[in-house]
Amino acid sequence: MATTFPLPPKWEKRGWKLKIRDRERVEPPHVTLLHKTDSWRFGLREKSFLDRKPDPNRVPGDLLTYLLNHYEDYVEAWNAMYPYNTV
Amino acid sequence: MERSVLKRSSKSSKKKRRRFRIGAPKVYRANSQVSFNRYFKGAEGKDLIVAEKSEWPAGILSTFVTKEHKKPDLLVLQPLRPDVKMALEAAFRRVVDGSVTCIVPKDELIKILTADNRKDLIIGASYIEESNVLLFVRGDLTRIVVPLSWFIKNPDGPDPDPNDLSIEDYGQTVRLGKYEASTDAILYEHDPVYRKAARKNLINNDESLGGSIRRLRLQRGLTQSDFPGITQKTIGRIERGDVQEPHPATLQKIASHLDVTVDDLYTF
Repeated sequence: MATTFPLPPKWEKRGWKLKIRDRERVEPPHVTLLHKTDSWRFGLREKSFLDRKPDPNRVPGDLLTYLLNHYEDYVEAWNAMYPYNTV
Repeated sequence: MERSVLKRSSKSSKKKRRRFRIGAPKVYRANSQVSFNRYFKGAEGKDLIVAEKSEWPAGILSTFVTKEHKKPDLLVLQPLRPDVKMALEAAFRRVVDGSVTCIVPKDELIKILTADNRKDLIIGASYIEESNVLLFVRGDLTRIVVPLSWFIKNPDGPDPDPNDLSIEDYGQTVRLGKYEASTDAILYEHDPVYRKAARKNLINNDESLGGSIRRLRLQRGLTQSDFPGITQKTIGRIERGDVQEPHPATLQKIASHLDVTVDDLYTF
């Protein structure tokens, strides 16, 4: 089942979401940060954003820090959902 | 009172005028027959008119269709009668109506239609049971058809339920019951133009043939030993780039098993 991870209330209220869905581009493993019509794939092997656009600098700094602090949870969830392509 | 999502820039404000890219399609939201008629007369090709009621576009058929005019796109939130829709397709470039099973919530729809990346977002979907496929309508009103079988179930994950279909996250997630698929994954696999742009957008882009085969194999949920007639060792060597030019027959076997052409193998 798709996983929606909690984010600090301040960011959830502003419409930010963090997800691993049941059908993703599976390589490389990632979590997706969504905000309205934009999304950023955060690579779990690279520990950094995978795409140039939208500009990763638009992700608030403390949100990125939060992601890095909870990195292990995302790895665990990804490995459970996609055991044939683990982090 | 009439309202448009994005009106043509007002003559009073130069600042406003600069906010729109030159040549960018405009989105007009009609909320009466009068405003619909006006937008239809003034719209350029590639512009989009959104109408809440089906009788407004139907109302222009006798008056305007025979005259010279540009062909904008049309999105009608209510279902159109099939014969009316066919007639409207003569007057508009693309016509999408509310007969699709689901359309994104109205507040999200407006954001999507005015977003720069609207073609990369999904605004509506239908399940066509007879063919076991899903039809998706993108923000630029183009359509894409995806077999239900593409929505692979994960271990311990839910089955996709096409009879409980919705579009969420501003067109970035397709929900089939408890199952969620990312629009990015759908478009990456089913639209070569999107795939090409997505590959260019990668910060670390592995453009090798081996990288493409590996990504596509994993997308299909296959292991290196799932290729009949080719050893796991060979697939591994090709993916790692140890084999610079795989034999054409081997490539053909790999492509067939991944259900793509040999040329497509290079694009994933």
